Amino acid sequence: MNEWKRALSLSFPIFLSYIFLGIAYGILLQEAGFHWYHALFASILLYTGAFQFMLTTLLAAKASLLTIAVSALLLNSRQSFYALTFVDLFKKDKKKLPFLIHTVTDETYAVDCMLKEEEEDETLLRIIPKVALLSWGYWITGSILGVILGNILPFEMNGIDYCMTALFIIILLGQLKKKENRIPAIIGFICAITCRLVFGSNFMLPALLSTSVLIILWNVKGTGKEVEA
Amino acid sequence: MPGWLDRLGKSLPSAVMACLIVYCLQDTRFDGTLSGISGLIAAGVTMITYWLSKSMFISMLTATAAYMFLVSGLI
Repeated sequence: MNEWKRALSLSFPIFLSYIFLGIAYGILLQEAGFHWYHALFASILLYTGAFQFMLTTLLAAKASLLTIAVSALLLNSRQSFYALTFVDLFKKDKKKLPFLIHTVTDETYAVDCMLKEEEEDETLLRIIPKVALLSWGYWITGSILGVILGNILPFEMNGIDYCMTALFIIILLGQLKKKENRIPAIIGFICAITCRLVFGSNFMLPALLSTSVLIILWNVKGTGKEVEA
Repeated sequence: MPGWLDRLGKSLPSAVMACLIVYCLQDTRFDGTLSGISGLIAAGVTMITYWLSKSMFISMLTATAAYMFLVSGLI
């Protein structure tokens, strides 16, 4: 029970962000002529925020299946990088692996990284799936609410999703206390800003690719030896 | 897992956070308007309030409220 409480409080920023982003997605679906069960299935089966928004546009434009598949792959393959941080941990509980693979998001990865600094493996293996399940639920709930309530929602929540930006910043501040995290963070910033300028708004995949290459080179040069500990 | 991949996995969290922050703040525009840099201002609010309060929640809620106010068009 305590672990559920912990997972609830850890996922609170995700709750705020996903409920309101989910509602925005639901409204978009409703306006495009879809129903609540479309939101339900899309959010359960796809569960990928940015791509679900894009898919609505692609479907409305009658894009080919190939176009849709390639867009999905390009937009979401960045998350394969996230696996590297948790591969050793999740090896210890392979039964949960398909669930964890399906439910990983940028936001849950961030929360999991923060948790990893504080907890033992056993606890992590119990709390991470709970955070994942709750976050999935928030997103599904938000998207259905959006379709059903649509534009009758009386309140404007412009900017509520900034809570995730703030969370990312706070997590990074915590990580920067460790010296070995500083160079990777600087590399990340430089690559991300450069790729944003070169590739436009869908820059995360090239940014993470170039970041990874530079981090590997930095490690090979030996300056990053302390990371091994 | 080979050593280089293991080290990459350990270095990635902070690098990914940096990328995600850039992703969230990518609409920043230096065009002289307050709304153009509201994301950066709220990032400053996040850091200052976190430094003062040491509380993730206080910092997150203050920064989000500040951001919502900045983009609301009230000022």
